[in-house]
Amino acid sequence: MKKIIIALAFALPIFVQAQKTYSTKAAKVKFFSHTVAEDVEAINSQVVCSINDKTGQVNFAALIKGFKFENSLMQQHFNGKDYMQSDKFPKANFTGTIANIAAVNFAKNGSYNVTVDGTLTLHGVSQNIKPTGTITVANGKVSLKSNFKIKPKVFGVAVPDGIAEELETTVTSNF
Amino acid sequence: MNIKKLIKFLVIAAILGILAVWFFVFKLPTTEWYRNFTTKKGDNTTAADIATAFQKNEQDATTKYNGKIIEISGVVKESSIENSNTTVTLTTLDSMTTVYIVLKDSIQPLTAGENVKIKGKCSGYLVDSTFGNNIQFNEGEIIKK
Repeated sequence: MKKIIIALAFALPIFVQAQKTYSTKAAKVKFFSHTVAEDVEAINSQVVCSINDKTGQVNFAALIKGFKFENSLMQQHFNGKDYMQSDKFPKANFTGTIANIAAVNFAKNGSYNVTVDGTLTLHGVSQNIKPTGTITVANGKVSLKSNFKIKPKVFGVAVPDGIAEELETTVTSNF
Repeated sequence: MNIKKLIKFLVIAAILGILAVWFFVFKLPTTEWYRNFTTKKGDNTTAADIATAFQKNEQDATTKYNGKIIEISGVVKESSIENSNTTVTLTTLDSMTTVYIVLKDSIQPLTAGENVKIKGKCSGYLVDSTFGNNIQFNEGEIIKK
């Protein structure tokens, strides 16, 4: 019995694949919308992000007040009670899974297209979204980039008709 | 007032109106002066005190600190350049909680253990299973080191 336990103890690491979680607290989320009067554009460069290379679990968390606009009047309106109500809903987060994580070889240089299925919580409202993105592996450095569109009204944000009805969102994360 | 004069007056008024809207809505709010002028100034505090405030009552601390310019003192835990921004992490009394600041200017990272005072805008409190809890600041500016 003792021999079997010792043999299993040595054999176990062969069967158990090591997992690695890539993480950063300096991911960037940018959103953009073109309007006739002025483009709506903001960047948050303090977004916490993690990816598990085996389970494909992806998490993002951002503070709404961390979004910086060039026009600070626009930033005030964005955070105010008519739009994001960031005092009431200070955070946004996304939790999802990369559906095809097995196709990503984290040990080999390359660019891998991925599809993520998850839940985005914004303005206190959670919605399922399925963004696509690219994981790039370059000499051991891993990065993730994704572009997708968000409709603020779906998250209960009352934007006026014709203004920022759809936000083009870009997520960039270097681990 | 004849029609010609009235039209002239209306055209000038319309041009002045458009210029005023352009200046006050689109131009002035993009300036650093406006950003500083309209940002409410908060307390001077320490990294330890602000962390305790958020841990004790997140809602109250959010109301008190979020979106405000705070001068915060503390000890540097780590500092680096991430995505071409210099970041500074300050220790608090709780090893799982830090104050995370992105500086306005890209400068040489600070040295761990240094005592610093940084002015920055508080974005709030983020709880994360990987990085622990952090109180985030952006537009940071070193006041004293």
